[in-house]
Amino acid sequence: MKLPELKSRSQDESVLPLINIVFLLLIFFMIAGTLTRPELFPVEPPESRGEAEPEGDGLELLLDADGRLALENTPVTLEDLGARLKEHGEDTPHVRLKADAEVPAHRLMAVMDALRGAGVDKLTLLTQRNG
Amino acid sequence: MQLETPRRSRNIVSLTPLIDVVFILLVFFMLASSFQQWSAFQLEVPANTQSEAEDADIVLIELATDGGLRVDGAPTSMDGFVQRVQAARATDPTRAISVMPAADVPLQRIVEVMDRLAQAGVRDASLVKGPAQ
Repeated sequence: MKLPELKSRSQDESVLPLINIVFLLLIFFMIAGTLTRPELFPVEPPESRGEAEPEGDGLELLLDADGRLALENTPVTLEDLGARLKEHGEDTPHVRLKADAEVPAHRLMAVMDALRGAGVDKLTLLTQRNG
Repeated sequence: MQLETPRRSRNIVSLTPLIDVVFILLVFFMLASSFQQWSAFQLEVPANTQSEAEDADIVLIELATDGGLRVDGAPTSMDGFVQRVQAARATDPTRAISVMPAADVPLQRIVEVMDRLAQAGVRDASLVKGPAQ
């Protein structure tokens, strides 16, 4: 009668440090990390030493090394980009470009051409800060 | 014996389900949160500047596929080009600065160059298309 009870109590107490650590880790990840929507395809943005904080608003345009495009997480082709941008309202939308570090310049230029055609005159290129 | 009873009832609530839930939450937050620190570059969407590129009022920084750099046609190093650009700016502060990458230059390289320019206080550099693009 007494033996199992004693055992379970000592077991519970032995996991308390574990719970403490797990709670601390949980709180750390909740506070330090930011929850983001998973992206349609993996994009490894270029690294920079820039200090400028990106503005929170604007349409997000993904561009990966193979030239695949996604506007606000839905795939789009270069030809449709203009029409899709107009669907999102505004005449001169603010675009945040999240492009892969390996994207060759001509592809970037093609995208910028399409953006200019859609009336976008400013865009923000997102980069990773590296210290 | 009677003191023993409340103690027992406290122990009935097991910690195991709590640990399970906390572990699941922990795994969720570990996988779902990102620690990437974002930084931003303001880029002017280039107008069709092919004719402008020949204009004398522009400091043209050319990036070659092999990593070479040229400022206004003169080959230079990664360290030297900022000084050249600054010198050009010092003589005429109104000169626009354009970066013209060759077709195959990766974005990382363009960002590096823009980074150097930004550090030197040049934040209005624009990106222009090369002649063959």
